[in-house]
Amino acid sequence: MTGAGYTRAMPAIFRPADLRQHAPGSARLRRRHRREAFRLMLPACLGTGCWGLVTGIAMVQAGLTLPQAIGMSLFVYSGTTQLAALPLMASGASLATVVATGVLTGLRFIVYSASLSRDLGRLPLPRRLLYGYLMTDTGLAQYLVRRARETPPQRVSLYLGYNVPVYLAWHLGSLAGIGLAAALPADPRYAWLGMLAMLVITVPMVSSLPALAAAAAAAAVAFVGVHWPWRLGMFFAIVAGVLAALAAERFAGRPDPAVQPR
Amino acid sequence: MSSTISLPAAEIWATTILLTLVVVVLRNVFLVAPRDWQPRGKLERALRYAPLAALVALLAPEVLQPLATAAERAGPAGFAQGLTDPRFVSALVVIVVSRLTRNALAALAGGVGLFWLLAS
Repeated sequence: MTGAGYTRAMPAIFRPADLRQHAPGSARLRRRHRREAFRLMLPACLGTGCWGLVTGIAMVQAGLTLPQAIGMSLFVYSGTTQLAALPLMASGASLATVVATGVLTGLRFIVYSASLSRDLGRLPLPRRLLYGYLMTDTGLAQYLVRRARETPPQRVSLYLGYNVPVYLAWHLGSLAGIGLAAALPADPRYAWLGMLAMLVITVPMVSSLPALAAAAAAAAVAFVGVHWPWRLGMFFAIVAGVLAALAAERFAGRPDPAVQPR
Repeated sequence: MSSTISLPAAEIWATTILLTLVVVVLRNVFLVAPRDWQPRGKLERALRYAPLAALVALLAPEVLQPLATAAERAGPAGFAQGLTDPRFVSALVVIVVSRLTRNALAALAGGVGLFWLLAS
């Protein structure tokens, strides 16, 4: 079922007009989502801010001017892509090499967009593009764990609730790093704080046998493939993690309720 | 980073714009694709594990790196030394506190506090 026929066949609550969330009570829900998201995302935001700080410092110390560094932070909005591109640009690599590296470091976003397509795919195109731009690793991870508790129209505000704070934390950290780059050393310890915050978000997600299998397989492949070119190790680690989770689901005999689609 | 970027400003902006396009396209592939292309069934369920796998793939090399580096340098004795590395110990504390208390802020505070204590 596609296009208009699909929309007509949907119950009224799922139609695009409702996705704009003008239904009575939706303001209260949005406030609840924002509160819940803020509480859950606070540690991740602290870490993301630290990671943004390090990226901001790295951009300026790599030789970008203030407007160039701010432009890269605002437009690219992907720490791994930015940090992978900087040394290549410094070594005089061709534009094609930098772009190819950007594609490979961002491959996980394809997987993310596939997992979001059912919830956001019916929104108007400009909003889909905006929400796609706001997509973050930690925000999306939290959203996917909690989305099953909400009806589709409420999932949009839930998605924003988890991703907007990370967006703000990233840019505040990044702008602070750009501004303070001359005064602050590029201390790798700041980046480690970002890793610890990401770990805080990740640990509770490992709550079932399939999730444990996903984590173990992804960790093993990522560790073995850490020196593979263009961060391909990370991409294959995601594939290995997903396959291991599916195999474990089959073994356990039932899917993980936290990731069961509704 | 050993050297600094010495590209003309236009090339730096061109790189930024192209990287932006790349990231925008990758982030939106399935959000703008026809509905027929949207993943369903087992694939849709499988994709729900991707963020967890991605987070672990980002974290695992960083957490395990101190152990690998120490073992490479000095064998089994080095591996034992790696177990006391501030990064490894703080990551372990975050995992344990998070599991025991289910309190994210307590886990983060414990890990960060111990890391600064050991690393400074």
